[in-house]
Amino acid sequence: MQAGKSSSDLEQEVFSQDLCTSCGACVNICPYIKVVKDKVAVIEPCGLTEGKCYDFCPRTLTDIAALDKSVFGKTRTDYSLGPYISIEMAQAKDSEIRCRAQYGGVVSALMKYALETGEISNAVLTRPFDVALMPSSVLVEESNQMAECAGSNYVSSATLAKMNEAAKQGKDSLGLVGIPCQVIALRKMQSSKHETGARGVKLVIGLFCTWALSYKGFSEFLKGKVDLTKVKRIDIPPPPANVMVVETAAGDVKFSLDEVRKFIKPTCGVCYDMTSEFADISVGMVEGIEDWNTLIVRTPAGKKFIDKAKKADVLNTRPLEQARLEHLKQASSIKKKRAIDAIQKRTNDKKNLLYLRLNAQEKRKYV
Amino acid sequence: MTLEKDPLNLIIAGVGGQGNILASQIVATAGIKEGLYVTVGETYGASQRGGPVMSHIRFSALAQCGPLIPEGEADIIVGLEPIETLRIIADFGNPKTRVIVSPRPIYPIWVLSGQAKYPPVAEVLQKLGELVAEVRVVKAIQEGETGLAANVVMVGALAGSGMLPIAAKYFGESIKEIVAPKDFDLNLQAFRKGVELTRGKAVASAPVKTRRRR
Amino acid sequence: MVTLELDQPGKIVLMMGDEAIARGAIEAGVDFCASYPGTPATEITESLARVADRFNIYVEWSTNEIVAFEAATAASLAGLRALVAMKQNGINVCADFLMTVNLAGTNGGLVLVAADDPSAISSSNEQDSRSYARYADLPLLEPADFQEAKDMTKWAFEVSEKLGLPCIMRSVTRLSHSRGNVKLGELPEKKRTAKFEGIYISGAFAAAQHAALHQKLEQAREEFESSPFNFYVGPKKARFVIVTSGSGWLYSREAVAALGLENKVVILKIGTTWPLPEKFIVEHLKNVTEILIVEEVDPFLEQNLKILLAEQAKTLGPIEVYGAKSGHRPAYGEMNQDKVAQALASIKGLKTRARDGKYVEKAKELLLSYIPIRMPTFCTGCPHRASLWAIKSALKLDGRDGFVTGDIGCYSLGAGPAGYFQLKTIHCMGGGIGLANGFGKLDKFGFNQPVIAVCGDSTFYHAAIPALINARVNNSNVLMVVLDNGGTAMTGFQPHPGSGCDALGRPAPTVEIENICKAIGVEVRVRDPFEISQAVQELYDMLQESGPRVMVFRRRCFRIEAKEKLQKKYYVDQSKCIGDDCGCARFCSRVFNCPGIIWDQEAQRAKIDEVVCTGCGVCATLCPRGAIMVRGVAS
Repeated sequence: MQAGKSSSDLEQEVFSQDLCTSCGACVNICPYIKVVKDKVAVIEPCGLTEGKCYDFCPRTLTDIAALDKSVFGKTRTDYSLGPYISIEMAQAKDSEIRCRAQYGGVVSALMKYALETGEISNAVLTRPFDVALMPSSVLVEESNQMAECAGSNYVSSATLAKMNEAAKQGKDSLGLVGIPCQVIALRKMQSSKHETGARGVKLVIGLFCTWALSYKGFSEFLKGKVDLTKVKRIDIPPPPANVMVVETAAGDVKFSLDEVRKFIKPTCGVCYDMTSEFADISVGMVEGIEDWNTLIVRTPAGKKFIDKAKKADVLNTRPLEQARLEHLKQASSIKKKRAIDAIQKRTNDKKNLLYLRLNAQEKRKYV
Repeated sequence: MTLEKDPLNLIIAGVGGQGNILASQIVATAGIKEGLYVTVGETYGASQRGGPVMSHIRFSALAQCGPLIPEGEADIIVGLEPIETLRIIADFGNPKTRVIVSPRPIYPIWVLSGQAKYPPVAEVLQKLGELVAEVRVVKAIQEGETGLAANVVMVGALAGSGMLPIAAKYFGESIKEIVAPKDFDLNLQAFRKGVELTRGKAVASAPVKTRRRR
Repeated sequence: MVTLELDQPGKIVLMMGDEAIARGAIEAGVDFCASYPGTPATEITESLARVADRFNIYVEWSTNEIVAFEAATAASLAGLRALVAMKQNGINVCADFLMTVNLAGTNGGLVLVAADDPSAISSSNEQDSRSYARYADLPLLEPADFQEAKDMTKWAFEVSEKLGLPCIMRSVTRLSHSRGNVKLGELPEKKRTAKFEGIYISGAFAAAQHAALHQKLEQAREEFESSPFNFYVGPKKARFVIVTSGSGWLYSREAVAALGLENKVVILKIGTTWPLPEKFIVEHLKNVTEILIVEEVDPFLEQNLKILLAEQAKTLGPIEVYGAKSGHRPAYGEMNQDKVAQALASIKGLKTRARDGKYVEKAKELLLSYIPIRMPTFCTGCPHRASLWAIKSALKLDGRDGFVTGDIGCYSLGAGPAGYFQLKTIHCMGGGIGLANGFGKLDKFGFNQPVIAVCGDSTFYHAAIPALINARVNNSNVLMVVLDNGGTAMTGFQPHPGSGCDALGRPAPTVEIENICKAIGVEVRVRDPFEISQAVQELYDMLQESGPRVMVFRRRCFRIEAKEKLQKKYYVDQSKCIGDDCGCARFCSRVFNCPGIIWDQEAQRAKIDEVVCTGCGVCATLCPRGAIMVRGVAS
């Protein structure tokens, strides 16, 4: 961890460079940084020379090897998907859960199970279409409160802000569902020298993510074409469709993905992590198979939990075909390559990878 | 009547909200009852919102004075707050000035936010003493008190000090004319308490070492 | 204060200049008083309101000064005696009516008291309103002390009735707000009834009316030649004269005494400053070779006197005139005895009484290095603090370099540290939304900064409505934030059309700000600024919209709340406070800027100053550690 930097450095190096991912790690720690929709900003300089916000941010110094050691106890050998113990296909056994879910309902099923068995006392989840198009983070205590928390939105909410808030309320047995940048921030928090409620997060489920859209741009784009208050689901069918389908109470509307891509947050261009490589469990879609998920188990804690869940008959599982695994590895590697290219374009210096610290081997593969 | 010094110039200095104006009204009305020309000049408005406030009170047996005391011509200063008293001394004091001051500080915003320092009160009082002829410290607010009517305590201290040639009874009459009937007792008590404090009876009044000018 | 209605002619009492003016109006039998709060004139109307029932006076706080002036004129046209009082900016607002009522004429005595604020102690500009008298061809009186404040006001009604014109009386802060000796006069028996007849039309042969007005002014001049308010003091034959008016009189007299020049210098004190009592002046200037003019602020008397001297050059011969033009006194800022003494001394080659040099050096050094500056701030519990913090947060989150145009009121302090330096412009009443509605149309020139116009509730009724209508009609991109604290707070919390009571404290209908906005057709939301996070969210959302929209932050002035109801007592649980650490960094005492929170040096933690805290609880909601607690209710 780098010492001696604080909110003014965060402002200079991240916010003003359009690198903020809106993960919310820096929000609700102090009164100086706030979030509204997916905009995070420093309201007033705090005057300190070092602090948590800078150290927690997923876009400040992130040493992959160091993070590997702190989360997994050892550095990675797979440079495409990161460390993992197993990878297979899975779906929620309960068809009702599958219905409400985006794909296989695995995340919903697992979180439901974790809450009901007391594995965790609370879960930080996301309601995808809470205030019109904007998702919001919620702290759930009972599984029956999870109803609206299923489904994906391509706009992200500041999940870690909610986690920080929950930690302040003394919640120390939390589960959390997040996208890669949020998971990285969480792991930085857990391994930092600072006092933080992040250590109360006992179960981390990470989602696959290629990019997120900026709320302002995307909502303005949709405004005239769709009633934002009636959006039920957003989906991107597999290539070669190249469309985004917005399902509303009044019917479906299709948009060219090329149009939508204009609203991808600039920071997603430098993102190195497609499959939430630091989560306990990572879950994503299976291309072309609507009601199944790809399930990656990464940590021993994650494996322990999944084994319990499987025993309790929460999931159906199936092996992942080799071709699909190769496809996934390729997709993840392409994202890493693109990230390095985007970083190089910003720094114009082969040696400067902005926030990333890669070891020699990894550098050789991607830089 | 004739005054030893004509006009006799008094300043009551404090922070907006301390009741400077009520105090000056009481003193001035007492002066009119004593048959003098009295002029009171004050700062109003935005300065009330926690800014410095001063009342210039000028007594004359000869004619109505202008509302502002000229630079360096304050004869008596009653300070409701230590730093404000020092601030007034700079522009209006002279080596013959006599001061009655309450030692309880009220912190300005820039001090509260750490951008400026509030010096230790003992030091402030000492610096006062180095500049003027006499400093009487009057603890108008005791520990644990909220400071209600502290301004009237200081008026009492002024009356009891003998620095003004105005009979104490006129102050009492003035209080009754100015203050609402439901507040008579509170204010008269405060006034009497102040008189006691400078008549040397209470422990709370302690003259600061000064350089006496002959 | 009981003195205002005392029926003891001859008794000497201590009165504020404004109170003396009110007493003068009472002694003149005033029937009608209309006004808008403005420092230093507010107390005139407040005084009359206190005794309105006793003396059968109608007193109202009007929505703005021109409405007040028009209302008072109606009373005058119906044969009653009317007074309208305002601060210097008020007469600017009245200008159009002033320039027509002078031609159309009046009936019952109508007195306009314009109270200037030299050095802008409580104003957003400095001006000398006397020029309006010359501009409008109206008589102008300047009281020089407290007795004159009373006696001149009474006389002003007579002057007005004789001429059939409004009579302007000009006061300044140092007179209006200072107190001094006043000998009371007799209370009148009022027998006037209101009846309107006649025609009062300005512009029916305006040129002829203008000529007739000039004649009335000549009439006034003749009247003024024998006024006791013009007098001289000093040796019968002196070569050096100080010509002075208004506040300059007391300063000049003291300065002359301080330099021991009582036998060498004559003071010619003018009370009827326009039109000048020319014969009286010329009479006293025979054999004079030097004149020093002492007045506040513009060289009004100076320039008019110079014209007279030029006209009378053959009779008077050459006279050296010292004043603003010659640099002997500054033509800005307020006057005082020191400045007059310095001017006199430099002309006469004398030395002013010097201060003890060592003393001054030591004292000045203390002032600069040792004593912390005390800047005015919002009172403890002020809702503006919360509103401006919400505005600051929303603009920062928005990130497009948005800014705030300001207006006149307590919240004007928002330009400084009290309000986090948010206000970037301040002009006059209504100036904020006026400017903003212009900024909101600059998008075709590449302008994309969001603009917030901040406006008080009283300001809204006074001046903001036309600009808001304009914004609607032209679809200007402006977010107007109305800070509604329930009254006209800066001047002492007088009622306005939203308050629900009149100048005498009786119930009155309310005209709600949000209803006006709805009628205009703009989006309007009403929120409590004390709910800060919601306020920030909503402001942010509104900033993303276009066209005109209004957010009303409604929360009563906490100074008033604290007086009326028992408030909670707050304290800091220092075991929870983390002070300097990351996560707080002294947010409450250092950044939030409420004077009720102080930094406890010994404990290195925050602490609530219970003497000053009014128990609003906002700091408690903002504390990142929940360390600010409630301890019961104040007794």
